[in-house]
Formats: sequence, C-alpha cells, structure tokens
Amino acid sequence: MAGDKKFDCIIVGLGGQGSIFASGVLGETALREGFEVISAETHGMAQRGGTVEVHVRIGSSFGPLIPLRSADAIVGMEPAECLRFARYLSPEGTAILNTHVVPAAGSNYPPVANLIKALSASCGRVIAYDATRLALEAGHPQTLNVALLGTLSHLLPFSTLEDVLIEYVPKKALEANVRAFKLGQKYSKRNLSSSHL
Amino acid sequence: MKLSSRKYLLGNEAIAHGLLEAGVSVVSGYPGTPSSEIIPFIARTIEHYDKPPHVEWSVNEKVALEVAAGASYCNVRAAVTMKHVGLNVAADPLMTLAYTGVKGGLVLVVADDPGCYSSQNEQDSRRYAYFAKIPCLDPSTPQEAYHLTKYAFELSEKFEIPVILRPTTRVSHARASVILSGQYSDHRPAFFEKNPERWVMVPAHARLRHKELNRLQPLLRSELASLNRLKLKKSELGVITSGVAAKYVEEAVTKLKLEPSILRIAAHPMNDDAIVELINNTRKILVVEELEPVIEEKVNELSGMAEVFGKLTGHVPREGELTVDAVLKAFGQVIGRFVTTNIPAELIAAERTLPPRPPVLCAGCPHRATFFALKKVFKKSAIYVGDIGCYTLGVTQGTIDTTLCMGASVSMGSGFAAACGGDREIVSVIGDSTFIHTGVPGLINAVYNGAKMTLVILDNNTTAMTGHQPHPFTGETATGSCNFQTPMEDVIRAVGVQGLYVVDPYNLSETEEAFVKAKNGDGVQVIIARRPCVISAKKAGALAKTKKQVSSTCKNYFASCKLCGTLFCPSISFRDSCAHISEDCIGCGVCEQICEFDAIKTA
Repeated sequence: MAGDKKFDCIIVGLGGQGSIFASGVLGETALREGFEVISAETHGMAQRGGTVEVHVRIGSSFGPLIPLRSADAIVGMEPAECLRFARYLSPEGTAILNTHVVPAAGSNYPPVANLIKALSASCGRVIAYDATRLALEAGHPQTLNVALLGTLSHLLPFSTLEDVLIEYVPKKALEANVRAFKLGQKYSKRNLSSSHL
Repeated sequence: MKLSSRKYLLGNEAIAHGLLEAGVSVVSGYPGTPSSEIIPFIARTIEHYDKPPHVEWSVNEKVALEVAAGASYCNVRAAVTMKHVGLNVAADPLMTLAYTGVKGGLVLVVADDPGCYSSQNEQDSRRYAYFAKIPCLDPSTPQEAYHLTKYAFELSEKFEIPVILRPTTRVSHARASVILSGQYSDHRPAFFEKNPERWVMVPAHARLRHKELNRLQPLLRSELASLNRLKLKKSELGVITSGVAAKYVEEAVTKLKLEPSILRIAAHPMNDDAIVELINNTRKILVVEELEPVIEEKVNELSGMAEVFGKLTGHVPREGELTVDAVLKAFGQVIGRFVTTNIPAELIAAERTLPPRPPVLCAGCPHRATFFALKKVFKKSAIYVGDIGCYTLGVTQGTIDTTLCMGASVSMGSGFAAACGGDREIVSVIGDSTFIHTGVPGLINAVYNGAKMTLVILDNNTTAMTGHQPHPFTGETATGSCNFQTPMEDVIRAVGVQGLYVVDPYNLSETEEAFVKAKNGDGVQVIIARRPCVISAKKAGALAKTKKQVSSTCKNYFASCKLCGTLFCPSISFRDSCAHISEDCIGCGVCEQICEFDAIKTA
C-alpha cells in the first residue's frame, strides 16, 4: 500500500472536453496502484458547454471536496475555467492548463497572458501550452484531456496510467489518445520531473 | 458465489450493487438528479443474473412507490429511487405505507441536493422520515451507502416498515474505491397473504395500525443506536455530525489539530443515549449536518447546561451546501481561533474578469426555435407558465415566467387563465416526460373546467435533463424493450382539447402558423413541437453534416440588427461588428431562417 501519501487534484473544463473521463482514468489508476481514492463531479443544469468541475483525492480518507488553497494540482482544459477554480490550488501547487480559448457567448474574454500571470502569482508553478493544438497533432482535437493527463503524470508515481487509458478509450480512438498522452508527457518533461506523492 | 472485489464506483453505482446483492426483486423510480444513475446501472447489468430483478422507469414517483409497495406486500424485496422533491409526489402512498407496513424489505433511495445544483429547492428528506415515522439511514461515503443499502432491507423486514436511504449529492455523485462483498442473497419467495386489517386502511384498521407504528418507535430508536459512533475525548468541545458532513468534520479537526469528542449519527429516529452521554462530557457542542437542523433541534431539547452551536445560532450556514471551509470557519468561531484562507489579490482581480458561463440550451436545441416562434406570436405580454426540464432555460428568451414543480405549468396555466385570462394570453410550456409525469391530470382539469389557454409540449422524445431516460411516450423501457408506445396525440385528443397541432420547431414558419391558430382558437389549444433532443440525435448519427456561416454582409446591418443574438445560441458570438458561428454549430438552420438580411448560409 501507499502509506500516508496524498495528492489532491482539481480537473476542470467545459462540458464535452473530457474532464470526467480524465478523472476516471486517474482515479482507476490510483485504485489499482493501491491508493484510497474519492472524487466529486459537479455539473450544473447545462447538458453541454457548461463548466464541469471534478475534485480527485488520492490517498485521502476524507470527503470528496478539496478545501480552498490546498490542491496539489489543477488541470484546466480551458484557461478561464482553470482560473475560475484556481483558488483551490495550494500556494505550492502546480497548474497545468490548455491555453486554447473557448469563447463565452456575449461576454468579453480577458487576455490569456493576464490569466497566466495571476496564476503564476498565486501558486508554485504553471505549465501552460496549447493542448488543443497538441491534440490535433496527435490526430484528434478531443484528445486534449489526455494530453494534459500526460503532463500531470509526471507529478504522480503511477506506472499504469497509460495502461488504464488504453483500457478506457474506445478502440477507434486508441492511437490518437496514446499519441496525445505521450506528447503531453514529453512536453512537460523539462518542466516537471519530481513526483508529488 | 462471487468473490469480493474493490472497484472505483459512483455512489449511485455502489447503491445499485447493494440492491442487487440484497436480492431485490423489483426496482422502480423516476429520474431526478442526483439519483438517476441507479436504475440504468441495474438495467445494464441484469443480463448477468440468472434471476434478474424487474427494473422500470415509472411515470412518476407516486406510481414508482406504489409499484414497489405492491411487490413488497408480496413478500419480495423492492426498492424505489427518486430525488428529494420526488418524495413530495410519492408522499401520499408513503404516509399510509408507514401504517400498513411492508412484508418484503422496501427501501426508498431518496437523494438530497444541498446547494440546489439541479433542483428547485433544498428540502431535507430526513424530515419526511420523522413525518412518516419511518427509519432513515444517512451514509457519508459510497462505501457506507453500499453497506447501508443492504442493511436497510434487513431493518425493513425486521420491523416490517419502509426505510429511507438518504444519500446527498456528495455521496450519490462521489466516485470512490468501494469494496464489494460479492455475497448475494436469494430472491424471497413471492406470495400475498390476504389480511384486510393489515392491508385495507379503512378508519377502523388505520387506527390500529397507527398504534402499531407508534409502538415501533422506541424499538427503532434502540435498534438504530448501534449505527451511532461516539468517540469521547478529554475535551470540553463536542461535535455531533452526520452524512458527508462527518467527513468534513474529520478533515477540519485534523487541520486544526483539535481532539473534540465526536458523535456521528447515521440513522433516524435518533437515540437520545449517545447524545446525552456526549452532552454530559462536554461544555460546548457544535452540530454539523447538511440541510435542515434536524439533529441540532434534538440536541437543543437535551442540552441542559451545554452550549449548542450550529445552524440555529448562525455558526453553520443554513442554506446551500457545506464545505470543509465552512466547517473550519464554524470551528474557528466556536473555539475563538480565527481561521482564514487567504486568496491572493491577483487571483481575485483576475476572477473578476472571467466571462460568466450560465447554463444554456445546446447549439441546435429544438426548444430554442420553439421559444423564438412563441415569443414572436404571443409577444412579451403573454404569461409563460413553465415547468421542470432543460427548457426552464427559456427564461433567457423571455418565454418562461414561472417554474414551480413537475407538471405545474398546465394546472397553474388554468389558474392564471381563471384569474386574468380575459386580459392576457396564457401559454403553458412543458416537456414530454414532465407532461406524462404529472401534466396529464392538469390538462384534463383545464379542459373540464373551461380554461382558455395554450399548452406547448416540447417533445424531444426523452427525459433530457437527467440524462436521457425513456418514458411511455418513447415506448422504450428502462431495459430497452418496447411493449407499447403511448400515443401522445390520442391521449390529448381523448381529453377533449379544442385544437391540436403537431409541428417541427426547426420549421419556423410552420410553427408560427400553428401558434397563430392556437392564439385565435377557443378553449384549450395544444401544440406539440416535436424534434429529438440534439444530444440523442448526435448519438444516433442523425444530425445534418452541414454547418452555417455568416457572410460579410452582416457588417452592413450589424449596428441595428443582432436579431440572431436573441436566440442565445452558444454557437453565435459577435466580434469585429459581425456575427460569427463557431465549430459546434449543428446546422439546425434556425438563425438562417430569422436573418432578415440573408447573411447566414450553409457553410
């Protein structure tokens, strides 16, 4: 078993971006590698396009909701959504986010650089890149969640994350997902090296 | 015999496993967040069982509970699932079912929604348990929900009484590692023993059964005392908590390095003994529970010299969902050690610049088209009486003026008509699933009592908001079989409405024409706006392959137009003095039809 090590992670995005899928792969991997895991999925009335917020707590015996300023990492599928939940991130925590903007109908969108600046001022480190472009490179724009999961994998001591992913994705999308995972992993290798757990 | 296993399960899936392992024979329910995943999970897995349970989506919660009650009277185990407000609909059978009692274990899984994430109120189902004088089990994790589901049947059978299992959102919609025993009970044999004094609630019998129900109360309290967990510590501070809030308390005391005495109450009716023991060993007591101060009121009755803090004293928020942070703050106030979490100023400033993303109807949602046509014909002056479903979001288009409860649009519509129908047009708006849930009696009532109103049925052939469950108008059952598709038009005609029109909302001129006819018609006029939900259509591969795009001529009229903006379609945005249509357009063509300058075309 994994002893008393713990890792709290927020995964956020818009409906259809795959936050729940990414958290499912992460949670299942944690379970198989012997950790306690509990997560909470929050999605309001909107079926599509609304904010989806998932709290994942690995190695925790507490409730599923992470307290403010205490998450080890936040994974944002979209920059504004990442910032919306950044107050959960601990001062030492890591923000991993997709810089590709999804506009909000009828509202002005702040410059992404400003959002990254605010994030940088409030947490340990920020890994920001265009995960949508990386996903396209991998073969499918939908794989942006898996690219970000690849980046997150460096913070975790898991050896089976990719195996669980392969089990979880539909067969026809397998290759693009595996490529996206590896690209996300490679992208961050120089930025993230040590495990949090 | 299956072996025990450890799985990553949604709380509702853990409950479903508990039901199956308990040998449940009949499961019924009506969808409602956060309870909706239990029935589909069972329906998906029954093929693996030699003797699978009967599982069904019922037309509403009252019907669902009565289905379960009938099965339970026949000695088999039965369960019914619903959300908290569903229990209002099922309250009629529940209150008397407590009198007759049950034979086979009967468990009501009623999921509460603190914070109203997807509900019209945040009522507390534990209140119903006390109202009906039946037990209520309050799990704090998916693992506990699984165990308590199985225990609920034993409890129900031991006392021959229905039992409520009350998960909250953070139990039902938490996903966690859950250990399943894999020990399955056999189905109980089905037989019904006639016993009018027991099953026929005429006054003479009811009085006797009421006496029996009251006799059970102290027995239930002592039985359920074993589920309470009291950990006494040498501290003047005590905490009484329940459900998922107990987990927040554990985390808060760990963070604050406090060692208070803690009593966790997992079942109702409460036993006084443990509460009194805690009171006798402490001076200050903080009560932390989701929703209503059910436990706190009891503690206040027994408190004696101890000081009690909680929702009634303003230390714990009485509205909304609890969080670890709210519990930390409550501890801080009680122990006089101020706990603050500093959010950096840069972050707060940046948060203020974020665009809001209010819930919106999907791109291509047929409701949007219906609402546009409705507003055009009936104008702003009409009263739009709404209902419960995705289409409540029509409030942004100005075509939803009220939302109360399931089915209320039709009956409230006839009330509006009775009060001010002479001066104002009355338009009721309801979805297909909600119409069959409780809208039909309202329609019969409106016609019978001579209302002058228009009813629009937004028929997207599913229960969309809760995750696309079927219902009798779709013909499909929970298990995917099809016995009979209730003919919507025949039902409506049989009721005696004066006008009935069926339109495709994507065809705006046809839809508007029908609305005009209804407006000029007599009595109750019904329009069925029929078009499958876009999410179902997408899954079925039935969407048009083409998208729409905006030509540069839009710029010429932009300053005075923006008519397409009144659709509030998430695919349409405005920048550089021009409308833009994004990638998620599904090509429904509604904006193309309303553009007065032909600036929108197929891409």
